Amino acid sequence: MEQKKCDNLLDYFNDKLVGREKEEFEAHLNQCPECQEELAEWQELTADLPYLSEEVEPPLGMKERILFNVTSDKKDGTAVDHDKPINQKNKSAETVSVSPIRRKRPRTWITGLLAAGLLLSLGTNAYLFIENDKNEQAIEEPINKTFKTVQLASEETKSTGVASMVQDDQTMKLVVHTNNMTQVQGTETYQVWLIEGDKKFRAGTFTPDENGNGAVVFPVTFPGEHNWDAVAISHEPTPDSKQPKGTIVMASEL
Amino acid sequence: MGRLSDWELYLQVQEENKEALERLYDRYEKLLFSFSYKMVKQKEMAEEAVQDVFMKLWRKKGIYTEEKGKFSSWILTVTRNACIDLIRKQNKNEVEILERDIDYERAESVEETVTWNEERTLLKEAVATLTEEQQDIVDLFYFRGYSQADIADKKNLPLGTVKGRVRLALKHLRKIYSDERGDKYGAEKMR
Ligand SMILES: [Zn+2]
Repeated sequence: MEQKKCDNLLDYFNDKLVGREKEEFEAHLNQCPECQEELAEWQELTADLPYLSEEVEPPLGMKERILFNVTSDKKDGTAVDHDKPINQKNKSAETVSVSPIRRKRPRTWITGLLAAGLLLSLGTNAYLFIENDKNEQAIEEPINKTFKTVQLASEETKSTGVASMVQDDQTMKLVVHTNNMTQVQGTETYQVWLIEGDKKFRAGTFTPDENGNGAVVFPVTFPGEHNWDAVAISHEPTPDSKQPKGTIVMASEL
Repeated sequence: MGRLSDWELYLQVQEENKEALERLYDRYEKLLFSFSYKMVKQKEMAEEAVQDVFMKLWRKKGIYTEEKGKFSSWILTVTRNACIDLIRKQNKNEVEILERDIDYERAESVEETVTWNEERTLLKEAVATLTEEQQDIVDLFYFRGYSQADIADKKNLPLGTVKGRVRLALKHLRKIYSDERGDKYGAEKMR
């Protein structure tokens, strides 16, 4: 009988035992020095194996999504299914993605942006918020207060849109609605950017529906303090652009 | 400011210090994501696995103690279990992985990944000395998290021999790898 229990060790190591089986084995493990020793041996034998993994670049915005999801919702302990990573390929109008901010982006894009004839006053310091510092709640506004709303319009197409900074109970959200967007093909998407000085932060991806409408609700949870200068929407060849590659279709100062 | 150890950062995470959580996250993001990706073979699921790990780290007080060994080994084990759990759920839902994100990008090289790269090169060389069947067994066992019965089934082996074969393959791997590294640690461990 005992031997039979010991035989479960490997399946226990692979987390294959469930419910009572697992409890029983754990009880056995507590009593069985052989299994304890052997478990340690398996752990040691496999300790290096994770380093066999090829380095893979995490998806854009993974850090912000995870840190946001992990540190929010804590008190009520509810399930966080809605916070599960979102498949960037799905054609949802509310696909949210945030990019890590530590990457340095070249200046060339902002130059292109200016060259595109879009007027951006990059000196404007629209002080918006201090993010998430638990000791310091910079803004104590009522729920769902709209902080700032700007109109978006395209010079070349009929596309229009509205971008709002909305403060809900805990976080600042950027809400963007657009109309009359040109349809996208294949992997193309529209990408929203928040611009601070010469830095661009990804602030959501969307593809328009058949009527050319698209929307993004994006929690602005970049660590640190930001003075956003502008919001822009670009037409990207793929949803994965780490920095704007495509053309700016609309932009507005904030 | 000196570099804090993982343990020191973890203690701060216990105090709900978000900055410490972020630093630990930065330290492990690439490794945990890459490892998860190797296991679940899909980026969204790999992200979910990493999220599960940090969820536990942040929300379950005292989940890690120094008695559980090195923080890095511990967090890799937790990651592996998160992946096994996701694979299990995936199988349950009979969701097929229709597309594999094989078009992953190579990372920019950072200081810390140099050692990882070196280790990987050595490990791969060691793996190459295993027979194909051994490589398969290691993969099924460690990276796919198969049960003994499933390995027996898949490889057409008597159930009773699975454990011995996995162990033999891993010991061989370990020996070659240790010899390659030529470090005392490995040699001692192999006795
Ligand atoms: Zn035992």
